[in-house]
Amino acid sequence: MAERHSGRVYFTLVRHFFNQFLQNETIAFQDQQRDKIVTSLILVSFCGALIPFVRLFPRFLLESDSARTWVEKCLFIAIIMLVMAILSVLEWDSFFLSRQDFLNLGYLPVPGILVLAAKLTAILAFVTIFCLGAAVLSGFVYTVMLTHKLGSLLFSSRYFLIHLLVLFLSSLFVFFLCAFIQSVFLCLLPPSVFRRISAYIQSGWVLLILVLFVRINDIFFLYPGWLENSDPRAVYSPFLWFTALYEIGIGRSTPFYQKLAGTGLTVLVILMLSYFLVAMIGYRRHFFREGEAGERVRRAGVFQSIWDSVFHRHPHSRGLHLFVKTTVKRSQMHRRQIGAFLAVGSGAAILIFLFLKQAPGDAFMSIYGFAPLHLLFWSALLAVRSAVVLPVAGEANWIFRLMADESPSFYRGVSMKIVWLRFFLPVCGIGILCYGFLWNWGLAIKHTLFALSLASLILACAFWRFRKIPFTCEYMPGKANLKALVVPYLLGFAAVMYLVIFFESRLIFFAWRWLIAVLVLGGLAGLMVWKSRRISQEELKFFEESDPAMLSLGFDSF
Amino acid sequence: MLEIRGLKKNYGQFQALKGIDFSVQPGEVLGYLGPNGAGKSTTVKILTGLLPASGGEIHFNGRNVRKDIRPFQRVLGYVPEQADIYQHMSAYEYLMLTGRLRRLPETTLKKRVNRFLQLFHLDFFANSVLSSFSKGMRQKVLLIAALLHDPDVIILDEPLSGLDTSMVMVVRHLIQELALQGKTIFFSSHTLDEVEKICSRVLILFQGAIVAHDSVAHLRQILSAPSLEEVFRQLVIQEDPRTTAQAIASVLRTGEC
Repeated sequence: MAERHSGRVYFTLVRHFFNQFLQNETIAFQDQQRDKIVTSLILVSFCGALIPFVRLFPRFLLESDSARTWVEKCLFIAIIMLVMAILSVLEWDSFFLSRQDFLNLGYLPVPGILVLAAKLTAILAFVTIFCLGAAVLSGFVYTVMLTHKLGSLLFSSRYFLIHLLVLFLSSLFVFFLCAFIQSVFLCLLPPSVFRRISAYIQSGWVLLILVLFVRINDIFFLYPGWLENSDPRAVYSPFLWFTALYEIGIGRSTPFYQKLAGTGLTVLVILMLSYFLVAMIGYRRHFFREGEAGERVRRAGVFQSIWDSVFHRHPHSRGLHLFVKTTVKRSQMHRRQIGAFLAVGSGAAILIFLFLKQAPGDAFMSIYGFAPLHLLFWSALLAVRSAVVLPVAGEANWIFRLMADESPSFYRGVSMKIVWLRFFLPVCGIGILCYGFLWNWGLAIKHTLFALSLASLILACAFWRFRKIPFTCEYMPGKANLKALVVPYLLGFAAVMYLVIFFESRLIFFAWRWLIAVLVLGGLAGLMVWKSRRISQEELKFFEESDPAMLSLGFDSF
Repeated sequence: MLEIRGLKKNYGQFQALKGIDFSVQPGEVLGYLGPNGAGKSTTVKILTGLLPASGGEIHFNGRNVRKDIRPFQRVLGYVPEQADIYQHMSAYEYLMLTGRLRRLPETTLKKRVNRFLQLFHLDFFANSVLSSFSKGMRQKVLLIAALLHDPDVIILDEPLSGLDTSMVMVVRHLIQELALQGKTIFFSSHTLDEVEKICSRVLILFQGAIVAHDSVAHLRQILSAPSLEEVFRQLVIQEDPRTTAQAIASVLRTGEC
């Protein structure tokens, strides 16, 4: 009886932790979440099947599988591992049992070991679902394409099962590797410092994965030589570990493959054990830390005081700045949103830089060399603009009580100031430094000022008639479902970007032209800000408006 | 009966609890009072199993709770002071999760959750996420979660905070009703009026030690105090509240820092 109850408790916990991977603090429309999962799985399945199909068809209609096909498998495993890595980084905050888990489950009659086991099972379930999505259709394509000439159903089944198993193990490896890296940071850094820099580590990870994605061909260029000569460097490549396992599974075992596969499995076991250990210690640590004084309130330092007295003289401005700062620091959803945009922007900027660096001649001085900084500014702007409309938890809306009587232009002004100071200024610093070393300091400053004045104008446009207190409006379903517009947006973005860098390249080498352009852009931005302060009879907006489609369906009233 | 003997808690050199002893009988509501930092929350967390004690014993119906806390946790209902509940869950989901982890049969649990939500006027918001709830609404959810499994011992840490006046009255009567049913109730609060109205006995904690432990009437008689507030003031408050208030007001008036 007790065992049956334990089983029920265990499965309740597993379901609970699994849902944590899918939900977030802000919006939890379960139907939307499930739809998202199903859509993602279909997408992963379809893309997963498309890659082997493109690689294998029609060549392997005529020839049968051979030892040379390891490349096809290795490429597919690498892509799945990188996708899983991105997924894992996005789930960064759900790797370990949190203090919230402890406070909610700690006083219930549930043993800690059961909680831990349930968490581990939820992780396995999460990875399994992703793997099934990625592996079933692709496995079918591999099996049919590579074994149809052999005519053995038994061998084909074995091929298919090995495909599933290898992808599952490789995804598991990636997940636990990400968890291991996080646990290293958790061990090395105090919790408060880790929380503060966690979003940056996440962004760095995404950036690294994106670069790996694009440079995957360079890595694959080295592999044939390594495998042919049993090069010891191959032992350090996780992609090869699991490819070797695949080859062994389908009966192409060699001593070198055995060595590679053995390394892979050993590392996987070590990573899983270390995860279990860290999770257990972490959960126990909450137990022993619980009674201690909570997070200490840090006194504002000298720098903060100077910063406030210069940029946030009005107390409400300081209040809003604090609200924005703490929201970004504490809300996983907002950090993820901003981090994703910044990572994509930085990744794109670095990739352009790398391509130009490898291109023949002085390509970096071509018009495309102007693009990376604009991309950085715009990704920062998009990150903030997309995050400020997402509401934070209800109790955080103390900001309403504090200053709901201010006019919308006040919030607009302070929001823009925050974007300018916290996002644009650091990007300026990066721009001047990078371009200063690559070009010359004068040109770097001119380019940065031009990009800044343009970004300021776009900022003024983005916040034109913005009537909300950032992070507070009620969210209406259906608002973010305009996925059909993604392609035209991207095309438009590329066209505008090309026009900008084209014009900039025509202006920047002529002092007067450049100065006039910067003054015009800056002046327009200033004019828009000034004009927006004079909009009369404006009221603060507390509720999000539904999409027209939602209104026509009568879904706007809840 | 819940018995605490020589309960100690040290944080490094600092002694948060200096070996306290008390007991709560079934059908009794014990008011647990003390200024901030006296050790009230520490006691509550040790009793619920969220914090290990440094010394002492806790017995429930003769069984040592510190040796095996699970049986005690099964009969324990707890309303925490600061609710760090799962924001992404709806009230219904949260209560179902708690009930399932408390091993309640599914049909009983569903019926009980729906009925409680209705009685606490939360049925309309049952499927709303907890992040959109006010403090009072969350407090109601926590109260329901604490009562779902019909516990024998109920530990309430500031249960009335955030509740509106009518709900405060409901909860006050509820506590008395539960005591009549023979539940052991441990009521930690700062609201002296409510403690005076609800509790049969009070225990006043100051700097980790018990400074008073008796019925409200007896304490008032001994200290010749007209109210529990006056008892509390005589035993615990070291500075004159009026003087402190005047000092604060004068800062605002004169602008001195």
